[in-house]
Amino acid sequence: MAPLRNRSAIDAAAVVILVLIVTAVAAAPWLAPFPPDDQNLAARLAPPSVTHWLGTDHLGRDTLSRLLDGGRFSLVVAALATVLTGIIGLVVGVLSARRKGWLDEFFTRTNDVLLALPEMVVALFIVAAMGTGFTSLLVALTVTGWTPFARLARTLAYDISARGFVEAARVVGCSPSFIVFRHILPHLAAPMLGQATLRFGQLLISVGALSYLGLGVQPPQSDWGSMLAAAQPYAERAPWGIIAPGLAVFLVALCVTLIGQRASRRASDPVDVLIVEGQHA
Amino acid sequence: MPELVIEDLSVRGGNMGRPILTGVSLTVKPGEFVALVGGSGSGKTMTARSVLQLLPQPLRIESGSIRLGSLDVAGAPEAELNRIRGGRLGMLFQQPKKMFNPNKSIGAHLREPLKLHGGLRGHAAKAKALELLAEVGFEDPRRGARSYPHQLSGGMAQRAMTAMALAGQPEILLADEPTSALDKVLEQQILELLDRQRIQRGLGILYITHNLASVAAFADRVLVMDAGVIVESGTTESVLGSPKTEYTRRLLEASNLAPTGIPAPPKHQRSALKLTNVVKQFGSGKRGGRPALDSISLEVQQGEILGILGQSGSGKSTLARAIVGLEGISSGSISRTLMANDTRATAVQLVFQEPHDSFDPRMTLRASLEAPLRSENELSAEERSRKLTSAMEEVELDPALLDRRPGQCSGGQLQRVTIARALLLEPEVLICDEATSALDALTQRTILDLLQRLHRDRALTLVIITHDMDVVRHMCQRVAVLYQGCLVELTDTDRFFADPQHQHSQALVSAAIPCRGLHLKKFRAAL
Repeated sequence: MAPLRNRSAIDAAAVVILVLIVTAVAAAPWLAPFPPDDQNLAARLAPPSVTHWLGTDHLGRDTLSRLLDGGRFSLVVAALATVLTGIIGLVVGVLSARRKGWLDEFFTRTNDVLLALPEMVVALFIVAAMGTGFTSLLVALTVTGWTPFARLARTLAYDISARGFVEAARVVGCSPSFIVFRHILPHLAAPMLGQATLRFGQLLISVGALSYLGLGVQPPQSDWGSMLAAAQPYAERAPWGIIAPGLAVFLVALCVTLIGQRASRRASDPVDVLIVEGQHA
Repeated sequence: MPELVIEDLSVRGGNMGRPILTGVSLTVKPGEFVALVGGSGSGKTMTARSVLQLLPQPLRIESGSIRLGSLDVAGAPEAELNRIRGGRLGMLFQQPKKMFNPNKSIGAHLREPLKLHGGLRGHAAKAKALELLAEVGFEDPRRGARSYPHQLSGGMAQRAMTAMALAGQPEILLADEPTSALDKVLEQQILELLDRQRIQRGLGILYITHNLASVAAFADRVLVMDAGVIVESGTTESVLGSPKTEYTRRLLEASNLAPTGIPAPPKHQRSALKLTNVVKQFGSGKRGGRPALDSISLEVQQGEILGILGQSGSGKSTLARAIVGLEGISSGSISRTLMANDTRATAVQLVFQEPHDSFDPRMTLRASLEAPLRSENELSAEERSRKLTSAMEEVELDPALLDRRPGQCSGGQLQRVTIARALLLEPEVLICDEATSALDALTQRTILDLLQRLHRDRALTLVIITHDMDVVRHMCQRVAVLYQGCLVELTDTDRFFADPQHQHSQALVSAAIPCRGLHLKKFRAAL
């Protein structure tokens, strides 16, 4: 692959595309040309045209409209799951690093066990036990999803706790809560945000995958995963039914990942740059 | 062998940035020991890095030429540079341990330059590596080659680094403060090692340091650098003997720490700190490791300045951390019998070695200093602000500095701020853990003067932990020597330097004396 000459142009494009998609999805009721459930059996599996920009599905529903409507579900579940797992991971990680001892041991072992289990299988199990729907999908993704955040937060909190300025703060009598909230958390914020954007992309794909397997939303409500599943039998006659939601998942995941990588690169830089400058000042 | 010639070198930070080096010219001939001396930030390191074409990002060479024999280094292509770096141009760094890959053994590190620059592989490379390790003073080269960087002491790591530099068969060696983190005994050994290579192989050495005292014994010529300009140069005798510029005089004076003879407090003072049989064992005792502290009993008297001497790994930092409570102890007791039944946990304060690491890079200094005052409450915002200002004035700093971040301050300034932060808590005892080791000689001198003034004005009890004999002689009334976790000697400073009892103390003292002033060069010539 040729080296990507201009990373910042690509990152800027990622931001623009993401903003466009999110806005379109949020404004679906006003933007969509048809109601998402409006069936028109006369125009089944119609190819893209002026009326149906992205064609129609096997019930003659407008793919674009369903894409915009279904995006809301996919994006909201993925975003909520990211925030929830991030917060749980942060709390667990910082607690492990600060308390050490049996609590750390407990969380670390739990983490190991969850990592050893395939995420999808656990999610399947939970959805099967709780029934399908918004809440159970969210729970399924959260239960397995906090582990990478917890690992990251624990490692970073450990490192920062050993840094000179934390020891100095202890010597001058700063309270542990001051150390956590003023020293450790600010240093964690940037890498955790970077990790969160990376995870968002993965979770979006997971939401799609679970819905594809029929464990997410139930008809007539749609999301990108269930659209893929519904369009699959007609893949040869009407490939647009698959391409459109597939591309949507791919684009959003790619854009968020690109932005996340940039954010975490930036996050690791500024502090060290300052120190180097200071030494020559 | 070729010589290294730098002519009229100017380096700037970026296109419009300020000048880092201006019109620097110097020559290192084969078999010559040239010292480049100056305070931190004077541009010594950047000179060395220009030679290697390894300047950090925004800096670039603006004009001037750098030649190694007939090769124009400044204009050479990257491939050519890679051949000479670590080959014809060897380098030594200040912190050797950080320059090794922790996952590779010393032997593996050595085989790399042997392969790249000597074309040796397999058994030949292994044999040569052992030979080099023996040459730099590894008593058991086989074990040395098998060991990993973390298993080496600072001194051994610098020897291994030297072996690595020699493996490339260098013609010129750039030694950037190779001994600043080492004690006097090790410093002398490393410099002797380099000097031997100079004599045997005609190696040209550019020795960069901030400590003029270490130069006297070895250098043929001295260049003094200030703010990117070479302000004085000449033979060692002429520069050190009759310095022409004020800067050199100040540097020389700062490097030459004479005893100040601070009167000792009257005997039978109350003790401020009392340690009884303190033992600290890391990990579980079953694994049979040597304890980091082995039944240490020590009393620090109120109002005295006690020096704690020891090499790296002798347990001095562990002791300091145990006293302030950063580290629990395995057995024994540490009691603080302080004035007026002072029970505050913060009555003993610690100043760390690395000033840049002692402050959160994201917080302003004001925020860092205010934090402990907040938890004491009862103070209004103005009172806190007034206290901060007066503390800054006490350490001779502009209070405007409070609104900067640590990255915008120099090491010397930050070390003063660390002291100010400690003073805000009105401590009874101030422990300085190698507080001046990371600073250049000039800055070190000003910090030591500040500590002495605080000791006088505030009747502050000082515990100075260091590996630097000169600092101890300059500051302390009593000396405690730590060796492998044991307290091997505790005596008055005068008596310690006149008649050290323990074998280790004797080694320390005998290494410390010749490194001071001019006489060693003459002494050597007389031999």
